[in-house]
Amino acid sequence: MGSIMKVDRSICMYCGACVGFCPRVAVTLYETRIEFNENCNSCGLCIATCPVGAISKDAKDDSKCATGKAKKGGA
Amino acid sequence: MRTLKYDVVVVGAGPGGSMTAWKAAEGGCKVLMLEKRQEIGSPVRCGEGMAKVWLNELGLKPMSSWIAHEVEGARIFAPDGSCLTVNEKLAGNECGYVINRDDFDQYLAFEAARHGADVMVKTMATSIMKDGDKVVGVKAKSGAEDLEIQAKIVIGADGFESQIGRWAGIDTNLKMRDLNSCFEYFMVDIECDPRYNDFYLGSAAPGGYVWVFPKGKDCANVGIGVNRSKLKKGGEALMYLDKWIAAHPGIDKGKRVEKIAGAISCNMPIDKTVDNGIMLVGDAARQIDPLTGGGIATACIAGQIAGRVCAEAVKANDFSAKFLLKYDKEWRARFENKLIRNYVAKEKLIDLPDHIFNKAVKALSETSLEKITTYEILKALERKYPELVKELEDLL
Repeated sequence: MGSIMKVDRSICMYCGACVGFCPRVAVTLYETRIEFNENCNSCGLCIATCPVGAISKDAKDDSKCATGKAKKGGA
Repeated sequence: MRTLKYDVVVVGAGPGGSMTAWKAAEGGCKVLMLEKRQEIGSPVRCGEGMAKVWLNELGLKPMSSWIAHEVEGARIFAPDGSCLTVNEKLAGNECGYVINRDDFDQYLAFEAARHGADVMVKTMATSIMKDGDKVVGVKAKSGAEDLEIQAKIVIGADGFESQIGRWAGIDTNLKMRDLNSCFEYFMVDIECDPRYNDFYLGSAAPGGYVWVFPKGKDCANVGIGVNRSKLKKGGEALMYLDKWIAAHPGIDKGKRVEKIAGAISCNMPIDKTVDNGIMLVGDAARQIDPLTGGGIATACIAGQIAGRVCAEAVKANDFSAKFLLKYDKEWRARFENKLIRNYVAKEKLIDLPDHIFNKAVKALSETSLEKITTYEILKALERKYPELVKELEDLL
């Protein structure tokens, strides 16, 4: 299952908020670039964590989205 | 792939990492500190408030190169504008100086280098290396070059991201209520009182607060932290801050000349910060005051302890979790109680409605407090509003 998370690099301030909160350690910050790795299950917890709203799900590919909620760090 | 060998490899050149590198090098260890950014301390992710009392404890001399401004105290504002003014002695550890974090971080990193630590910037740890249940180094990428860095001790000082520890199996994951999403502007040409660090509580910053930390007569860091559990969609921290600024004409008249984003953990201290061949320091170990979000001093203190324990471990040739537990015990003895106390307070304050903040701040402003401790605050409140204390009695 590939990640369907998308980062708008024109908005992202590469602060690492999404990285530190990801319960699957699936996000990496490379200096000024965010990348999601194969551990990402598209749970979407990172979306509202982002202070500036740079993260979204690729709407065209929503069928790949994880059905369950993330087990750790979730509500 | 090039292989390097060190006693200690420190991942991250923030205050916690640099302090560890400094003290470990001073203690005779062969130290390498990695920083993934090309510059140390930049871009800043911080409100930049720091206490004078901590500097003394750290043995750091205040220097004009990184102190931007000195304040006399703090003011705490309720949603209705009621204000509690506290001087620096009473305010605890989050006021005194407003610093330039980039300059501060550079100062510490350069001191680490001067004391013998090697520093590699634009160098990112990409995984940890293990031998059985022991951490024995990190793999890294420096520019285009792949490196294998063998080390007797790995220091995870990688900040809020806290990946090194989690790669090593140390649980630093955060719950929904245990982090704040933050945004800050540096603003000039505003009206502020340069004598005080200001904190604004209530629903303008759900579960967190707005801060105005002056860096001069007409300029300040104007920032917000909003609890993650209160956020529904992306970009809300920024949205809440813009809304707050629009409601404060003296700030709104100014110009936003820098933007800073980030996140702050506000959890109970984690169960363990060491394992075989590894120690976590600073934000990476979630060593942040959960109430104020202050983490510079705790990172520096933890770093000093970790650096010293590195030197002791190298002398004893023992890098087991059992030996490194000395660090864990020592930092807990220094400040864990305060973190726990302030975690309980934070848990209460997250859900407090505005009218309670209004009453509490008003009551406190009309009382002369000897000290701003939870106990003193509750005593003062009990005299004025006994029913309020029922709401807050968990804090006791």
